[in-house]
Amino acid sequence: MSAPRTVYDASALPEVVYGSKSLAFWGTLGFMVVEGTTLAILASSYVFLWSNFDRWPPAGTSPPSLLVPTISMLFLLASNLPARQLAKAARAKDLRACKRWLVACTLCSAGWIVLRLLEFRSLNTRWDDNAYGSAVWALAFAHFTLLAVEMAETLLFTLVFLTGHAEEKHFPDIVDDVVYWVFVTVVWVPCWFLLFVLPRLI
Amino acid sequence: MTRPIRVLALALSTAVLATTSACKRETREFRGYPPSANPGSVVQDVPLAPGPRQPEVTARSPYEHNAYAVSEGKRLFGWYNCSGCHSHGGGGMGPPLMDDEWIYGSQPENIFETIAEGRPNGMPAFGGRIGNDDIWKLVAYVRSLSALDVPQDVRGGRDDHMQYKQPEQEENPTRPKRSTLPPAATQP
Amino acid sequence: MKREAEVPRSALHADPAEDARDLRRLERTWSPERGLWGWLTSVDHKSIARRYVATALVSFVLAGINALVMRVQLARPESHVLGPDAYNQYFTTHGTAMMFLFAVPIMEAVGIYFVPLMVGTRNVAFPRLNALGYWTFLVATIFLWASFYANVGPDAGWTAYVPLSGPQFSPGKRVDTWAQMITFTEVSALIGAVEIITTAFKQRAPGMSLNRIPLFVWAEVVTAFMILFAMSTIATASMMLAMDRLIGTHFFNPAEGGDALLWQHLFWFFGHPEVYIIFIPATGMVSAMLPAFTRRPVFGYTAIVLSLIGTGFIGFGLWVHHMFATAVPWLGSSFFTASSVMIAVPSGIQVLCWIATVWDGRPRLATPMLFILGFLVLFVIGGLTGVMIASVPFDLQMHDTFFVVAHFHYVLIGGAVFPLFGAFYYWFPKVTGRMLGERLGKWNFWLFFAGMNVTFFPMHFLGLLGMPRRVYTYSPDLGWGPLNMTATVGAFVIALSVLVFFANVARSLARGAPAGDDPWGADSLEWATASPPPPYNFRYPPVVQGRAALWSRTPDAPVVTGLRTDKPEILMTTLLDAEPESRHVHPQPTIWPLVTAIGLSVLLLSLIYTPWGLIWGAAAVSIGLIGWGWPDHHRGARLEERG
Repeated sequence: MSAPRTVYDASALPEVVYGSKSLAFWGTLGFMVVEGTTLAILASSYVFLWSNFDRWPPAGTSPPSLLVPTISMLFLLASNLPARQLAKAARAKDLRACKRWLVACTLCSAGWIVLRLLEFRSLNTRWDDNAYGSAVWALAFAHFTLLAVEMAETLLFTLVFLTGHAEEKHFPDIVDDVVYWVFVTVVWVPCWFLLFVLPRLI
Repeated sequence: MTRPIRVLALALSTAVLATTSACKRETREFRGYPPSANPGSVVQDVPLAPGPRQPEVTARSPYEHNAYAVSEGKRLFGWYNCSGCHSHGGGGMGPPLMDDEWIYGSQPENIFETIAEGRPNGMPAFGGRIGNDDIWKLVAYVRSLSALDVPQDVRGGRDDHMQYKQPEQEENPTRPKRSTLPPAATQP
Repeated sequence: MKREAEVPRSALHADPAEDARDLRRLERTWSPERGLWGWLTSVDHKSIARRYVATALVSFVLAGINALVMRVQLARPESHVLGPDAYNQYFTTHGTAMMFLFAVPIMEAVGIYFVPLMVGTRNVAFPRLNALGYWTFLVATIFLWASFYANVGPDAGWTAYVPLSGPQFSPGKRVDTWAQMITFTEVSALIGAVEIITTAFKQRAPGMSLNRIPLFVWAEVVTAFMILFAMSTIATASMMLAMDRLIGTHFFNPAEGGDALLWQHLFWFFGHPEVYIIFIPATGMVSAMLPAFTRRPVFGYTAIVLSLIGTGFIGFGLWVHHMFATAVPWLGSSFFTASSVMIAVPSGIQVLCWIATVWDGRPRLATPMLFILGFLVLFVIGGLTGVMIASVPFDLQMHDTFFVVAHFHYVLIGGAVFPLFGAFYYWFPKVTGRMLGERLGKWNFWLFFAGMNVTFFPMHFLGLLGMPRRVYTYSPDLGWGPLNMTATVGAFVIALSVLVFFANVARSLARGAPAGDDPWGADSLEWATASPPPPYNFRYPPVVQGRAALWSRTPDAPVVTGLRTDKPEILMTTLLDAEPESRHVHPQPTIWPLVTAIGLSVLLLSLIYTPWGLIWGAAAVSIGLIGWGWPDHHRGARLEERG
């Protein structure tokens, strides 16, 4: 080791990086692929089972009501506004703004959960009624678990920040959390179309 | 590398001990005795009288905790056309089997006797025509219909059929009521 | 930002005393804690991968014993070693364990060990998730085998076709054991896939641009992508099956609009890629070993990489060829026949590249090379029968006969287990620092090769004679006795060869020849560090100058300095060109992955018995995740101190 060698000195490289430069981004992306595939498989099963029926929803089952699900879906999309502000604050490493928008986002995600619980009641079917009910419930419930996970994650960040445990490395983590937030809210739009709109059109 | 294996072995043996309780539920015996080989009646014949009573039993119900036997009971319930009168347990010409009323008693021995010896007003005697083993399976299935002592993980799930009732495993356990005598039993 | 002002950095110190101090600090930073606690909290990719391999080998042996018992039962007509009920559990558990608890995890485990070493980094991307993946896999292993020995072993075939596996025809909890074990192993496989992709994308040594990534790493990355899509599918499908059984949904109940074929579609949309998930890493192992034993780089690097990626895509387009015997439309069958034949093209390209490598090189017949040659022979046989059963009329005759059993054992043992055993001999010195014996190695190979052919070649004929798979016995006048007896003899020869392997391992661990850093004169980065590698893998992360990292290394090859030695820091580089981009501080050893795995076990195991398990389990998992996510601050990184 005494002979002089060329070295690449890494000491000047940053420790906190955002977006696709950070490891957590790629982990989040991986799990988004997994969850996206799960929803896609459930949606394909819904369409596959549809082909077994003359009428869909089957005779005797009224179609799900449109009002609450649509409000819920629009609320999901609207909740991206505070999430966007949160990401902005995290990129600017603005601790106070982060706290503020974390609280706002936690409240929004609690709103998702409440609306989704109401939405379950407007499906007008049970999972054990027939294959239609099973397919509808599976898709809605699978997405519900994603909402619950995202709510839990945001809540955990909120607690960490409000109790003064925040570290600098949490800022990029929050940005990744918002990436996941966008995913769970936007991925519901095609599902909503499939469950609530398409059966009325065909 | 040895420590992981040791830990694995320890955990494995603990888990084996913990799950041996499942043995009773999962045993499957495929060949019972044919009806002709029945070693006599397991319920002693007594003078015919209405109402619940304790039969003199010489055998215990072997299948209350055995999932396979309960499912076989369900199959036999269809094959022997029990549904023709009892309609999947909901009752029709014959009394319902899913409720908490048991005219001739709800114990396994009572039900065995009902199936083997028959009852007034239409219930035929199956004893000697089908194996005692099959009767015990039917007993276990009939008791699972109202979740009488048959544990939840032993009772059946939904059928690959039109759903006429909720699956047995979702039934809430009932408490059998002491029944009044059926009209037929009071007017011989 | 208070960073890096007066903290010591690793550098090529002129002063030897300072140099030694720096090395000690690096060692302390990366070493796991001592004792049992250290074992439970370790997040080192090497120790976790070793456990994965050891656990998977336990399943390999137990499932192999299942196979032996089944072979004894089938050796003679109408024998009574196993009854029909036991036989169902034996073959189902054999297949399930070999696929889910041995083949897939061990291929990923080798990746978890060697991908970081081959790309020149210090750990996988998410070390705590990695630990969680192992613990869930361990629970799955214990759960399946404990259930099997307690007579709750799954008994509806490793494919668990409905309606047989549905609530009406599989009473009790045996199939639920299968479905939940699937969920466990999928959690673990998906975690491993995310690890491998991220490590290979973001943690490569400077200079290792995409076109210099070792072929084994490419293979693991392609596999990981396939896992992401395939394993999500089977996890979803097995949940649907579990819900049909527990809460009375009707996904697979035709009378209420469900569909038994939906299960087969979902299962094989996973099940066929699964074959490639096992096979592609094995091809990567072959490509990794060949240069060392032929003294030249693998012929056709680009062609092989494109074949791997091609296999990954086409692998998802041929699942219906498992369903030719069901009522799929003829047009669909023709399409899937075509795609099934098409997948022979990329595999063929790889085989030809390997043959060209051997042809052009100076082959050295050490044990790993023998296993590679054995692999080429057996895999080509398995591939040819594969092309045969890709054609619908032939498949309709052979469906569910022993011909199919022979075919997939040639592909899986020949195509995956042989390269794997070669890889054991090749990489054992790196992992343990000791060579495996060559003499016993040759015995191991020849016994395995002979046993494998004696066992499975006759099964082709049994299939042609009409012997169905999954039968527990057969009548003497069918004339299947002699061929079955031959197969049974072969099975014991395989068992003997596996015994020889373990004897070799034991002997080598006790008094094997020391290996040194690079016993084979190989070309990839894992040989650039000590054997076994230190906890930090590389004192100074290397800089790569060519595709064959070690062979193209100049004497004054540059290294990376400036990573801190008092924190577990790794270097992150750009996706395409592997330019240094940032430093990342890795987590310390922690118990929370184990706690989370226990919570997950509560969730999944209680879901077998009651839907309320979802609630209890979610609470149990939350405990683990809160502990996991809560910052520990032992480095004083808080942004605001509370007064």
